[in-house]
Amino acid sequence: MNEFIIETRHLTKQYGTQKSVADLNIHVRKGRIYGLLGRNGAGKTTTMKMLLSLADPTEGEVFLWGRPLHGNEKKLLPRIGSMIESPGFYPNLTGTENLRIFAALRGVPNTHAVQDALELVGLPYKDKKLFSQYSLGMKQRLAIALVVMHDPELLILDEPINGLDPIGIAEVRAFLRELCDRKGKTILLSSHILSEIALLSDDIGIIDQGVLLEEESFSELEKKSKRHIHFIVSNTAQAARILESRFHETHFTVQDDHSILLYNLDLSVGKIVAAYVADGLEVSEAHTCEETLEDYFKRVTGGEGIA
Amino acid sequence: MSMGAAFLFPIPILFLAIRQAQPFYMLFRMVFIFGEILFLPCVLGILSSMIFLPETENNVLKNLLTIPVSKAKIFLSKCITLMILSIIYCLLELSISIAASCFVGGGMPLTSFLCFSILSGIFMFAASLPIIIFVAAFGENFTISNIVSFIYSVACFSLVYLCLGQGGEALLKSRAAVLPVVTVFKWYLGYFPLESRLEKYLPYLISNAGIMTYMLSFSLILLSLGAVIYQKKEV
Repeated sequence: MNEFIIETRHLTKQYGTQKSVADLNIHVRKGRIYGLLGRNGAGKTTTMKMLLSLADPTEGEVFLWGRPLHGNEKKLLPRIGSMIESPGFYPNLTGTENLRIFAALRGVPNTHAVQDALELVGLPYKDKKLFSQYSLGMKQRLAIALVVMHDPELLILDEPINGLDPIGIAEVRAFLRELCDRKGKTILLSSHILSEIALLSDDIGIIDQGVLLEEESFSELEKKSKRHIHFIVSNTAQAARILESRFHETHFTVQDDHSILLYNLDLSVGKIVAAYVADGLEVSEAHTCEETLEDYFKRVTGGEGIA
Repeated sequence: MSMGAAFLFPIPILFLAIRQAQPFYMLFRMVFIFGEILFLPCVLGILSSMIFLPETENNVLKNLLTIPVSKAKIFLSKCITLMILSIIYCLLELSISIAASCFVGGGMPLTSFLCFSILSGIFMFAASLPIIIFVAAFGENFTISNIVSFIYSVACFSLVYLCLGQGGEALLKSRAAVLPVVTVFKWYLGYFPLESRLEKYLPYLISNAGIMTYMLSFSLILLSLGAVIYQKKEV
């Protein structure tokens, strides 16, 4: 059996000459919360649309539960609960009426499904308020109720905490965590808010300009981001060659002509400095640095934009 | 409100018919020309924008598609709704005309008029398919959709008006005669007894079987095309 609930292979979406998503390979494991982190316009929503067959990929393929999505939509999509962009409901109907329509269309057998879903998100069942009169937070709650109403195995949520107040955010976070931990649901969520992803996700994919820059478990990323050794040398190209040839180390970043960051702290700084000096390099600085997770993401994505 | 337009034309035309002492079928003919040829495509265009656009604007379509419901099914079901509304519109026009019939003379074979209303509703729906497909596939907002619907409606009416004018025969001989609205006009002319001044149109009339075959083929092609275009529209 395939270990991934979601797997994309070389997923690409091109609009004209602009690649919105490029060669994306993401892997979402069963019973985990996968956070897709990226700036606005990074390609998160387009990726999710392709996962739900709302947009056709230009290239590549989506596999859900190990089966290709293309051609199996009728079997696979009912197993998913999704919320893409803003919550979409009929404005002239109440929340209950809206959910009843979708329950009927989905053929939900549980007659209490609508009531249960509304109670779960803290919305009243017998309410005459129309959807158009809902606040943004209420709309978001109703959208989450729709997502869970048919008890799906996989939840795909695009920016699920948008418009929620701090208490609402904490409630949704706890709710999603519980769905994952107690009911074994798999959740893919996207956000541009680092703290949200950090608080909720087991695995993280960092996407920027349509390209997946990193895909790691959160604990691995934390390890990676915490510390590194910063060398200031006379020639970084030569320093990089030494790290590769003598220490068989590729886990470093050349920042500029004189600055190089090494992420493997198991290596001996003394030995590296000695190797540099032996090869005629001037080493003016070598020190261990602490980096926050935010600094790490900024560095990976190459700039600002993630709160 | 759009369907209320069905009541708009019979009333002023009734006064005209009474003034000119015309029989019921003449009153109904005028109701058809103004109420259906001029107005119905526009009404169907507006109804299309009311049926197709809110789901896109309110993001409901995404929720429907992930159930999943195929876009082709959504498109075709909405088109069937529009066809039913078109028939209802025509029946409403007939009912208001019947109500007015006590003021004008002439016999009124109800079954024949009923048949005509139902058929004209279906045929005018088919003739309005280009505007329905435009709104469904390319309509981004109500204003533009409604303006295009109005232009299409006026164009349909102008074609029929030209057919009735001096150069009408030339138009009926030309390639424009295959246009659906002109075909409906040719069928309409032959459905009721022709007055002597309109006898020149006899060679161009089209039978019930003829128009049904034509409209069925036309609708199938356009509905298939519309379903394909709608399918390709990204949400």
